[in-house]
Amino acid sequence: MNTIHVPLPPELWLDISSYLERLDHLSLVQVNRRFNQIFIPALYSDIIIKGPDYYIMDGHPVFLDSPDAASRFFLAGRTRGLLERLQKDAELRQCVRQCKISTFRAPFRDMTPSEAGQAPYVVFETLVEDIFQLVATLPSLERVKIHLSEIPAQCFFMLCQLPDIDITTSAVTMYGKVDLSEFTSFKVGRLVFETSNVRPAIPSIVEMTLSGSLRELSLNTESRGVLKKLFTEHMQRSTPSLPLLEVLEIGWIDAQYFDFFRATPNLLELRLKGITRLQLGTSTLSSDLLPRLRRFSGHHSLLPCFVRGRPVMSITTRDTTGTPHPDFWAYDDNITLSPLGMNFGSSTPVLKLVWVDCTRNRELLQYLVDRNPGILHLDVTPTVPYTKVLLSERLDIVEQLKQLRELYIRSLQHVPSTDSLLWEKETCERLRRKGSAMLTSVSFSTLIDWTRKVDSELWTPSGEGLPVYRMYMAKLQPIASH
Amino acid sequence: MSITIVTSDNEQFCVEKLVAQRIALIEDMVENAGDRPIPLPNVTASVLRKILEYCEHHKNDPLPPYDDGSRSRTTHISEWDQKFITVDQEMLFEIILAANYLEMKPLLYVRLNVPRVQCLTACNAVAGDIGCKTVANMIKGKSPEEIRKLFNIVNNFTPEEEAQIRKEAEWAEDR
Repeated sequence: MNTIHVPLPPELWLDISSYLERLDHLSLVQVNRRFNQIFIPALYSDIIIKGPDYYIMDGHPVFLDSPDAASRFFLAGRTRGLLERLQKDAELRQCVRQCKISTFRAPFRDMTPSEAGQAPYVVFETLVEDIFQLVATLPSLERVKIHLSEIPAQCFFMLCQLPDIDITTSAVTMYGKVDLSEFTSFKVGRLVFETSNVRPAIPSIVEMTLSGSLRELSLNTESRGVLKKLFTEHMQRSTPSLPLLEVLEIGWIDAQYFDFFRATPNLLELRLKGITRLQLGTSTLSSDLLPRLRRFSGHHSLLPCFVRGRPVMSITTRDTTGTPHPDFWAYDDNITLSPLGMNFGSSTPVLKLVWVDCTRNRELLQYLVDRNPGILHLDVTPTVPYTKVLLSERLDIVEQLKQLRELYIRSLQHVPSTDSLLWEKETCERLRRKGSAMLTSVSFSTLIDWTRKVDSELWTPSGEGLPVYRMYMAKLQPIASH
Repeated sequence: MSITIVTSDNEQFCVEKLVAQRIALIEDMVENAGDRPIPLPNVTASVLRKILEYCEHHKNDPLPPYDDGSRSRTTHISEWDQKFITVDQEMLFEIILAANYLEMKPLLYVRLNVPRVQCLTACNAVAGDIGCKTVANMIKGKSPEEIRKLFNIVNNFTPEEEAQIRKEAEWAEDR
């Protein structure tokens, strides 16, 4: 028998393959001829082009006397076969939706990487250019991740021409001159720079953002100077220059650049990393800016400035020590909250609240619960674990949330015991009985999660702590079905 | 009000109209069939019984938990669904095929005026999601030989072809 009992049509196998990863696809193409035919598109939908584990430079022993030196990709290590197949086979090129380019390394010659106009070794540059040229011709490409590599900046911009492309760089160094006149237009949709050195390309990157195609931009590790340049360029435009931008992540802003947000009238999500109110001073954001903001992530002291008066329904924030802003003290029990107004300052009820490191916030929690009774998802995990008494005080407040579905208050740190599991289970039941009948997911520690089916009374534990517990006690079953 | 459905093995099912309407293909047929029974030549009685059990169980599902769209595609299957789909391999594939044939994906939100998110969740689950996820979970982490054993498949590659495929796909082992 060379087929399964009930052969599924290829489109259903492809549905199945969408839940699997590359290594599973790799197994599937090796099963038999039929599976090979069905799963080749899945295997090639997500490719990795990984360079060799040595520096590529002129005169490296590996290049000497190589009979393959005629191949365009002969220096690319074991990824060479993939590149050659893609180059030859238009059908395979059609399959690729995601591509990771990783570990193409070269030492730079007598220069700093930021020096425009210089290049590392010629063989390396030729290889990387060839690879990017090939990637830029993949017709279905949606996402590119460039990781741990040195790349000529011009190559990066080549990819930015692809319609609605999503590009992430991590640990990437860009070098060399950029000539934007080579390109007719930029259509990049999502751009994320993670700890990359893109300095020589910055003016061109800023210029590219003016094309207005971006939906998401993340520059959270870029320096103040870079961001100043970005803000200034956009502020000089008379009409909104980032009309499609929905998500923005930045690591610095100053009150004098608030007008930058005139360029982003449709921003839905703002993530401010590492910025506190102290840096911003007491100036406020004009009420006509960010009119559609729905999700905010940033230090708690920024909430009055960015959340108040806007339709924010999802907040991720954190406490820190240090001098509090006079409007909003949250790390201490002596809290002054009146200037916030209703609903955490948001003009709509907050539905999702993640409050990181909220050690001493009983009053604040009470304040938030009073004003946002519709919270569906609450995460109030403290830095220092609560005692059971303190935890119980918080849970009394949580009981007032009648719509709550998910609660994370990961305060317990001990290895689960019969007693602690019983306590957790009974507390889940009590929270549901006295609090929200909709509650289906609770976690009091990073070791155990409790979940319940919508139509079931039964709370079931899972998580890393259970095997340890089972190992010692081997008596979990009576608790789970208690 | 109920309607009659006839399966490929000639068994008749009397189904509450509200439940039957959750299946798009049947809903379309009801309009043209009048009082006549609705034939489902591609579905056997045992499979239809399972599909109807699913529709019945999920008819009052509340809205799924608040989701800001950041969740990735997971293979998690809820407890009841897990029990529901614990069937032999043949039945599993029959359910996937039948759900696909019955066009169960778009049914709820179009027909019953139920919020879209809820319907997509319930319907996707029927129309293969739990079936497909179950098959995916069976395949995960397995070698080619283990997959062959699982589905009773004979390897029809020559050793040369096998070696060639392995060589061509060497890149896929990189991370």
